[in-house]
Amino acid sequence: MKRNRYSWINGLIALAVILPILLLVLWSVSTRWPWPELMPHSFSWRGISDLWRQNYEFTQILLSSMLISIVVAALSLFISLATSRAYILLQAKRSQMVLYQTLSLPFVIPAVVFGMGIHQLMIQWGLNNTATGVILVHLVYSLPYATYLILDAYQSIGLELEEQARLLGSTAFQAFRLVTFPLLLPVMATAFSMSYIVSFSQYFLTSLIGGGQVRTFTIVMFPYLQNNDRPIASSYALVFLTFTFLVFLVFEGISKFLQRKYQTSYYY
Amino acid sequence: MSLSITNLSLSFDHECVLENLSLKIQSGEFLSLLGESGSGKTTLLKSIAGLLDFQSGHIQLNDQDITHWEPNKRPISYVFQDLRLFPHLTVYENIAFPLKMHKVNKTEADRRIFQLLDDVQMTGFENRHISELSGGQQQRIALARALAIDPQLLLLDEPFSGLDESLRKEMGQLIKKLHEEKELTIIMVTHDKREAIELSSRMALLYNNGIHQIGSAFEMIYQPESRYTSQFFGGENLISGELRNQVFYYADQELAIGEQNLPDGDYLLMVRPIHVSISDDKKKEEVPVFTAQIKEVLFKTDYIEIEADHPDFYEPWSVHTRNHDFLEKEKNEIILITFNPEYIWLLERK
Repeated sequence: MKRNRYSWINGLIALAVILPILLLVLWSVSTRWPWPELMPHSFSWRGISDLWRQNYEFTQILLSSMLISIVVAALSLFISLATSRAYILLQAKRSQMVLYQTLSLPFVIPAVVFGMGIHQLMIQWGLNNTATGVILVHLVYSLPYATYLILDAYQSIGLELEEQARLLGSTAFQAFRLVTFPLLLPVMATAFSMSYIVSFSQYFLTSLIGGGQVRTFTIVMFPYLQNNDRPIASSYALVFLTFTFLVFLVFEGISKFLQRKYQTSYYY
Repeated sequence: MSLSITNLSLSFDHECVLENLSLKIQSGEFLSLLGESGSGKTTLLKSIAGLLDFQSGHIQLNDQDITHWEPNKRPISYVFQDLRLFPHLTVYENIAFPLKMHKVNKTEADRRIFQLLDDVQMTGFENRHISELSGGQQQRIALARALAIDPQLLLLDEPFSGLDESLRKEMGQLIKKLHEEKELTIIMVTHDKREAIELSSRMALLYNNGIHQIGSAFEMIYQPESRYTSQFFGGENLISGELRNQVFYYADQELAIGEQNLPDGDYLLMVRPIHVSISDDKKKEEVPVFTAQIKEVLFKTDYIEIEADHPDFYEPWSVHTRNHDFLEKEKNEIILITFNPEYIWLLERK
């Protein structure tokens, strides 16, 4: 079999991903690892056993964090689909431009600035210190990622196939469900994953709006990072990675299951 | 199935595309829509299909007003220029789609699908995916899908664009065969005049936001109502003159005009190249003779085109001949040109 002469690049990329994970694994089972030593001085299960000791509370926090992020990702997906469709239906280029630029505002406005302003509003609305408030602020920062992904794909697909479906007897909803939706499934899985990870990683906004009452995984993990307790922080990071990866696998699986009847279409 | 469009007007961004357009099509008719780009051909087709809202007018199908019907309720099928086959479905599933939407039971659906695949000569392709088909094959599947629900009217929007010459001919023959076998009523948008002439029973030329002229191929080519129609089909040989009491006076000659009943005035006499000949090809009863100077000799596959000029000609004339000796003729050589007075037509000078 002919070897791909650029396979070394793939190897390099894999190494760039695997090495940091290996480092985390080492840190999670070490006690002392002074720089510039190549290996830890001593090993211990403290990092892992600390997690295990709190396993009930830890599991609750992990599951509620995952639930918050899944809700954020699902809402992002729904809003992104609607936004993308609206964008395509907009006739005026100026309106499209306004919509497109508005989507990028969360990238432009720092989270600290946004947080200060939204915190007041959340207090007025009675949503501070609640999971609903946390979900809403996470949504603001997850939406652009999901929307830009879906928008690009939706633009490639266009509305022509739906138009054809209407002419073949389908209602508007059937045309979307049977034609456009299956074609968007692959990008929706990616958009969902992106939104999920953005939400799951949020610390500052969760801390500000949650007020310490909404305890997510990152809220619990942060103090260990701050106090430089690397064994425990690394253990948390490994759990973070594992469950994030599992969520990705589940939703990728759901997407593939939904696409099982269809031919993969490289439409975009 | 008869289609009647009455006073249809449509504008985009305050720009008028169609204005007070009226059209009647009989059952089983094959009508081609011709015109320059931007003349409104596809707009008209989309309006009939219900894809575009128009400002005024009515559309009736079999005397039933379908003006406000949703596209999915109209018994009309549309094959777009880009085919719009569903890429995530197989050939079978693409053709089954309209049948599913119309709740046709599986047994009947299967029967129709396999019959259609046979009609379009694609038997055995039912499990293939669209990406595995060639351009011509995709065209056939798009056609089969459009015919699945036995539409009362089939709309074709430049169905052969993107195909090579031989495939265009093949697809044209297929459509003609299906038209005859299934007695379909078809409206086809095309830029190809030859296709329109070969396939359709009538042609409608769109110009200036409406139908400029409608008629059979013979009427459009040999009896155009205006210079625009005459120029559109190309190959017009013109000579200017005056009509008095149904006698046309031109150069130093005169010709009695029988068929057209026109008022006296200045006109252009138009005769197509096929009815113009060189003196070597002289036939009986050809009256006028011009001593013309050759401007160009062009080899055109199955005939030779000679461009020749004469002071009385409105523009250089085009003469077609199958005599390959004329390939030896050179520029500025003198030839004698005659035309068959049975096939002349007078056009207004504007």
